[in-house]
Amino acid sequence: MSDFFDYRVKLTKLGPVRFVGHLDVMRYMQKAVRRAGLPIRYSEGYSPHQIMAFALPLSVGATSGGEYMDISLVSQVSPDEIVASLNRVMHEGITAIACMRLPEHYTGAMTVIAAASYDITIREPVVMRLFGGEEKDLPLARTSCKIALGDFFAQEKILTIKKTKKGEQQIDLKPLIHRYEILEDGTARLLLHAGSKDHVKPSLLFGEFFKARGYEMTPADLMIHRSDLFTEEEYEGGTRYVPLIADTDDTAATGGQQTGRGETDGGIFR
Amino acid sequence: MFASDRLAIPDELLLSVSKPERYIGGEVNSVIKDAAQVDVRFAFCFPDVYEIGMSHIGIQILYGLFNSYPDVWCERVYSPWPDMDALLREHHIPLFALESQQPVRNFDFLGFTLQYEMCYTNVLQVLDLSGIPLLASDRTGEDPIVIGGGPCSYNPEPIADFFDLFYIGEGETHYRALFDLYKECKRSGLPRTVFLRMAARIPGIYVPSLYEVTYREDGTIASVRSKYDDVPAVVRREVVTDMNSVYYPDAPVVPFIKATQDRVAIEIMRGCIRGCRFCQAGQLYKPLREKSADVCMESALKMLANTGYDEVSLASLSSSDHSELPKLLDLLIETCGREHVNISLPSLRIDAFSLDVMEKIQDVKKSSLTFAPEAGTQRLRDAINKGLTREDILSGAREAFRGGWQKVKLYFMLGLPTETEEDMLGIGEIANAIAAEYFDTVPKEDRGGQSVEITVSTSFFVPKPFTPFQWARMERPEVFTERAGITKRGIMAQINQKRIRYIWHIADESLLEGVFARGDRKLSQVIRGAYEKGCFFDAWSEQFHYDRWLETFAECGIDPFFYTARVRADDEIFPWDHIDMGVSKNYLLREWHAAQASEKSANCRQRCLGCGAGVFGTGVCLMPRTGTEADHE
Repeated sequence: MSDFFDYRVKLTKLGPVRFVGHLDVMRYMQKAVRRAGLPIRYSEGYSPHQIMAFALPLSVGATSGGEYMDISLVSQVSPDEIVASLNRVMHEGITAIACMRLPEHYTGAMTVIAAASYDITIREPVVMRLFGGEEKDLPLARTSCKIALGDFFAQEKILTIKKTKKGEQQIDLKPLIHRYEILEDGTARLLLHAGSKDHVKPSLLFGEFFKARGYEMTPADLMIHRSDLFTEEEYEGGTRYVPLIADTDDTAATGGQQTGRGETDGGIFR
Repeated sequence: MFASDRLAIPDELLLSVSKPERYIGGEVNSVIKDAAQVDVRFAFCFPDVYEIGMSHIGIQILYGLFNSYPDVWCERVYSPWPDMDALLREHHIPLFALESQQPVRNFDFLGFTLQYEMCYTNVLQVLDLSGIPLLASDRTGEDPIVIGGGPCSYNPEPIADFFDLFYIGEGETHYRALFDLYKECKRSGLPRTVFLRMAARIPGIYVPSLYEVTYREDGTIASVRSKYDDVPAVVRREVVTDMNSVYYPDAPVVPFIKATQDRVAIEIMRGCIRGCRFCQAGQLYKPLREKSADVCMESALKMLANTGYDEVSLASLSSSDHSELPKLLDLLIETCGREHVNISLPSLRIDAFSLDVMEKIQDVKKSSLTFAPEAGTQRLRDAINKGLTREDILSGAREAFRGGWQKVKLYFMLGLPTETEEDMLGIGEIANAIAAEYFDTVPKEDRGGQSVEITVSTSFFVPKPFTPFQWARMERPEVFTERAGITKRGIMAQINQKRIRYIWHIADESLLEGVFARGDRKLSQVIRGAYEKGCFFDAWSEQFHYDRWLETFAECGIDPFFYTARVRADDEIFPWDHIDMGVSKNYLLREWHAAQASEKSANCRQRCLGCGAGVFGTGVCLMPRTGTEADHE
């Protein structure tokens, strides 16, 4: 039997902390774990650090309904107690919403990720600029933008240039978009391929959308909410995407924004 | 959903600057109150970038203290970095406090802690971005009361025109009285001028507009008088008399970004017994007052639990002089080892005890050891009263080399009063002797294929008010550069010169620091003029525009060397003479004369020099003296 106990914690990142960068969130969580008094395990060696690993960095400015962190403790604590003790010492914005015990030889959160779900909204000034026409009528601009987004995602191919170490490479993003839906307010609800291989950055995708309209995107043009991270599993001869911590019932993910409910069951995309 | 999601700055702008986290507030332990439920809103500003300001203990203390009052809400403000500064101006966004994200202009007080002279233009930046008139005389009842504190407020004259009042001394004693007076005046609808006049009667409060300065034909001060009988002629520094019961924060604000001091800081004492003649802090915080090991330990445990930091640092001017240091370290080492907390101990004297401690607390990481001999010869070290002998330095180095250290940093000053070429050459000589000590102490087979690395670093001496060197001439920048050259030649001539690296700082910023340190009220027009030419963040060399400053001096018809290179007579009236630090001018003059004769003086534990700080009736002044003047114990 192992001397330590591994857990995966699901966190939300909402509100002004969206401007806190990935490394600083990690430092924040290291301190939160200490304040919570969790029996975190430290690495060996002459400059020991907490055994803590995060899945998939989130870009500065984006909010999230499902960030994941794997931690290792030296004694057993119930997952509910881990959530409660973290939330007692955390400031607004970052909240623990779920926790699960991991098996002895688990695969790290970063490795199991296959997809990420997003709600992406183009900020109003950009909508007006690209679709406002001469009338500068906002509802009209929004409608045009919605239609344009629908057309964009309906294309058979979405080609882009990806810069790699070997040089530039043309790739098709379309097969990496697992789901898309344009909501009533113009928000694009997407399930994008994610992880260490063929990761699709929302900015890369929207960069193409804007480029087709002769506009060069800046990071501030999009409002990005990453609602959850998913792992991939075989299911009835196909593939389904399951959140890293799957909801056991509908109340599980109370802090996060529920996305993709239309096609899902307990947060699972099929 | 989030009370503070109404950020003062839109996302588009925050995403286009470096480190937006500087502007969002919401850090752990930051305090949110209901603005409708408080009477006094205080914006506390450290006029430099967030990471620097967040590292300052003083603000954390007063922030915690003020917020412990139910009727006061204290928030923080820092200088927006130039990228954000430009956006705020372009988009007409008034500067705001981090917690509420509301404009500073609507606060009751805007307080500045003034830690170094080079931040003066940043004070103007903060006032300007807030929409508060730069000159105190232009402000109305609609504007916050602008208050200054910290070491540079002890000669506040160069910036006197920008401040409504200064708090001279340690803030813990009389801020409550100031707030009560403010509330009363506000309730009674009394004008700003009446409040300031009444505030001047609170101990430690200096209201510059209530004093009149006259000058002699040669530009020196003829007199400084209070304009009214009820305004004290001299303002005495406020001092905390019991360090064990004084407020200390249990839960300091923990920034998201890595601040310069990314750790719990425990203030273990105030003041210093050493009396080094160049050192301003040594005089400003007299007398030495210790916090007991038990009180320090209790603080440390609470702060670690409330912040989650994994490092604790002991803050003081000279940690080795704390009488309970061994006990405190034992307590800390016992807890910290268990909890994976590192201990950092700056300002230690290098001796067998401290090396043993470092061995215990710093794992096996042998980073570099720092010595500050300050001067190259014993004669000059005596003249500056740096109680450190050649033998202290060499034996400290020997112990360190035995303990496995290979890197040594040495700090010196150039341009100290009475300095000669021999002193400059002495720097290379002592660095060489330390290297030789290494080769004698560590046998070749124990060197692990490496060798000793010595870094010599020199800064230029800037005479400061309230020190024995307040009468001293400061050398001109070109002389400094010349002396750095002589020092370099001295190092190059040594046998072990290949093991010695020499770095020196440029002299331009030192000149300005020298001007403001001993400046008078005439300088406010220069500071304002330079600010209007775009000078700010002068403490950051990449932002420092020496040419613009020189241009402004010329335009104002003010010679900067009047303040630095002039010889001051023993009986000159200084611009800061109406501020009473507790150390008397007579004592400082005695020390100035002793320096010129290269004579050293005793420290406070050996013999009382009658500096005057005894009036505070606390700390080392009440202790029996050893009577000996042997170097170190």
